[in-house]
Amino acid sequence: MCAPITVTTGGAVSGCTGACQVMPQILASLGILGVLIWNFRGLIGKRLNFRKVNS
Amino acid sequence: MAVWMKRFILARNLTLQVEITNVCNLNCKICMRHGFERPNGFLSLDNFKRILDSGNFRYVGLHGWGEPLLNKQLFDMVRYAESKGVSTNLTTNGTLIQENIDNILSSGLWEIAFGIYEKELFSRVTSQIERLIEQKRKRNSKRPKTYLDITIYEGNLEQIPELVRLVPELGIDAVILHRLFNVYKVDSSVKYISEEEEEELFARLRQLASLLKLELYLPPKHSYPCRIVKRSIFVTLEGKVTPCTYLPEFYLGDALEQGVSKVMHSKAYSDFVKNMKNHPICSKCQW
Repeated sequence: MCAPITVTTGGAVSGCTGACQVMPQILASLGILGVLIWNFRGLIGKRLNFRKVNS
Repeated sequence: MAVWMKRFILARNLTLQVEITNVCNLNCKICMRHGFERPNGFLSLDNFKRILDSGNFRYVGLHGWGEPLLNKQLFDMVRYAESKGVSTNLTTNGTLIQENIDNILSSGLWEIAFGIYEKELFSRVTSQIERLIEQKRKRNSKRPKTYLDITIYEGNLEQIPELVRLVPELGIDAVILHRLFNVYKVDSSVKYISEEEEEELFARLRQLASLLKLELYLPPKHSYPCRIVKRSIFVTLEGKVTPCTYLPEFYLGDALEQGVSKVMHSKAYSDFVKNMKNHPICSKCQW
């Protein structure tokens, strides 16, 4: 026969051709983003408040 | 752990291809199985489970150098893999679909490809494919996704557009084309087409696919490591691990003794990937 279908299609399985293929990367990025926001929450809060006062 | 979590998040984007039998009911001239001197047989469900559980895979391809529908335990293997969150697929010559329609539709099989290389063989199995798709529609089932898998070679160049035109008529979901493998253990009279012919054919098929609104997969330019090695690992009927389905005698380890994951982390495997370009067979392969 030949190589599996998923080798030729790049793993596009029944309806899932996009985000599911890079789900681990998406989740990892969201995690990193969460940590960054948490780390700089003070700074971000100040910045948001500053804008509010000036607007 | 939820099955969907394993399927979409935790599993590595890798296909385990398991040769569940090397017995076939056809004698295709483009097939390399004539050249093998291995005894014929069927993989048992127990050995399949051991092989599948020895690595982290997102997909499993249940075919090798034989007709998968001849293995009586095939659908138990499909059910087992699906219960573990591994998506199953297989390529069949289509001759045994009729007697397996119920199992194909109820086992949870994700994808099925009808592998053909000439019009005559295809016309022998079209009525069975039609019946399968009719039943799938009646049951309102999305699975399995169906593909027509065509091997391109000199002898079917003119037939390919005609075959592709039949796909929407039959209700097949997508078309895959791949190049002929004729490096060793195959009939040397079977030749691949020239680069110009390939270019012309692909342009014609792209046009046809957009006209018919067809999902079409054409082979990309060959590169090293190739897409088969990057995306899959092959385990023979005897449980031997090889890097590619077209290298069924190039053993890198034993899936039943060491496990697939261990073999993929071995020096033998990484050396093979590094030196693929100079491998006597891979260097001539264009798949």
